[in-house]
Amino acid sequence: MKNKDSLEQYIQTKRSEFDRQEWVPRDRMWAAIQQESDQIPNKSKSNFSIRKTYLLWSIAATLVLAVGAGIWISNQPSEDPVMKNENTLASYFPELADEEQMYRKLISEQENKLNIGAIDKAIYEDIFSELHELESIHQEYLQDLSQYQEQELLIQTLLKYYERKLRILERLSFEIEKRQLYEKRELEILQ
Amino acid sequence: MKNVNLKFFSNLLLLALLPLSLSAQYSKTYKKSLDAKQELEIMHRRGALKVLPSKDGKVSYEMLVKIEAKSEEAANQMFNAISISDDTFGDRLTLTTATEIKSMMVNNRKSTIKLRDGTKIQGVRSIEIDMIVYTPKVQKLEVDHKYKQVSIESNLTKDLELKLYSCRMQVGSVPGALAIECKYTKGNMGTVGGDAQLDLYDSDIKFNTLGNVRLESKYGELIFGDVKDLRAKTYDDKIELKNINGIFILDDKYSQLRLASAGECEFDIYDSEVKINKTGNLKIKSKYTEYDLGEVGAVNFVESYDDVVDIESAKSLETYSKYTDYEIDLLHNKLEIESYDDNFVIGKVGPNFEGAEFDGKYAELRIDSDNELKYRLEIDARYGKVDLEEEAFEFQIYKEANSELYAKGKSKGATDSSPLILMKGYNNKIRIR
Repeated sequence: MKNKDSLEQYIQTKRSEFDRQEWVPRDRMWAAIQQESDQIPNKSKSNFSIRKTYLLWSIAATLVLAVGAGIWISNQPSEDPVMKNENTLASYFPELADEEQMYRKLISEQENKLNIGAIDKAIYEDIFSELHELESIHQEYLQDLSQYQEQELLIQTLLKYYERKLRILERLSFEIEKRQLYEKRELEILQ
Repeated sequence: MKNVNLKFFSNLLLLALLPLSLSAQYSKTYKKSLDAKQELEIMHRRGALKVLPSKDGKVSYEMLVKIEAKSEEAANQMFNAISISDDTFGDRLTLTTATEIKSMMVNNRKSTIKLRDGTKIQGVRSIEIDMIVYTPKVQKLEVDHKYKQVSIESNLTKDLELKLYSCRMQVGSVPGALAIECKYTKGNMGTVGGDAQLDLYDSDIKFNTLGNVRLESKYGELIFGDVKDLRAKTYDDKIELKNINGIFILDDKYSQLRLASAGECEFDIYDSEVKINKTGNLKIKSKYTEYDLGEVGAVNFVESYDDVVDIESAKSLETYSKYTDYEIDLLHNKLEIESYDDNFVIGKVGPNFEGAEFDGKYAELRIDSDNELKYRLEIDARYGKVDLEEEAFEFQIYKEANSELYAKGKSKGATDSSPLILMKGYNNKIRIR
């Protein structure tokens, strides 16, 4: 209480001094402000230059990482069933995966069209024997793939397998038609 | 600033290209000279093989090994895993190039080779082993090769045996016997003085002259010069031959055959195309096949089914046939037909024509005689049909009752010893005009 009273008294005593506004040298003040602002742009420029370099290196590093990741991913075994199997062309040459997949699809379509599982192999023994021999030779060549991967003629031969298989399946289709005509004719003869 | 940017991006490009520039070529040559033996066997892989004449009576080899690798250390590891052995057993020398490679995996960025002893070599991108073998003339040369070129000069061996898988071959002449087993191989072969045993799969080879040939081939394209006898079993091949001076026995499916001339031929053919300019006698069992024959002897289709037969000139035609079309421009001697639904067109018969016997069902025989043919005709058929030049023919007997036709007659100017054309069967038709 006593303190409060003394403070209030002090304020009352010095009131004129507190209320007096000091004179501000405005010209000098603006000159000082101007001087400071002239210094600030140089600092920004150098800061900006440093930031730009960092940005370029960041972009470069990102690019390198992205490319590297892409290459790493492309060299990884695919989930694709063709590439999952170690003994396929695609497992050694990912760039041939699409072509190999296309051939396999065509062969599968032809086999489904023929309903190959339901065909009496004894009637077309000759053609099924050809398919078996082709498969056997193909497997023999596939065994060499791990050792002679870089040999162009080996790769050509392995791709030729698919064309040959398609041709044999087409032939099977023609033979089925021929047989149907033959049976029809034999029936006519008997009648 | 511009300079900074240019420098920055060129460095970035170099950084990106750096991995590609890391591989280098390393090479090493192996040489050796050996005493020659009567037989030489070469087993080679991973590079071209040349067999050349020796100048010093010895067998010698030069093996150039080229390795593309990321480091000299990797290349040296690989060199150590490559060898060539020379083994002698009796009168036989065997040269074998070998690598200890168990598996090899090369892609864009890395390569790993696994050796048989488990060692892994990183950074070897390719291996090439080119081999030259110099040899004096031997009794027998055997070559076993895969996936590369092989060339053998002429007359280096009496007998030659080749086992080639996916090769490109250039082989000179062989005075003795030839045996080839090959798959997916292309190339040329010189003259073979002796007999040849050919076992070919999907191979395209041009042969010169050979002796007696035994051929088994599938999916190939083959060209032959002159051969003596040819016994062939073929499947989906394209074959061109010049002259077969002896016999030609063929068991074939789905092939195309072009032949200039042959002696006696015996065919068992299915769904093929056959073109022959000139042969002796032909004995054929056939289905779905097209024949384009020039001048042939006696043609006997022991069985024909749905064929197309075109003959320029034949001594005679004998056939047991269904659904086949025949066209013969000139038939010299005789015609014997046992037919079901066939068509026969005879352009002309020769002056020594002996006659025709036509039996079967639903078949049609047409003879274009130009009124020159003097013949007798006898018909004993059910639902038989006859189409003749009425002015040029005279029936002596003509009886038609209950669909049965019995007729006898002669063309104008024919005698009792003129050729007899006899038609029997069911629903057949004969036309002579």
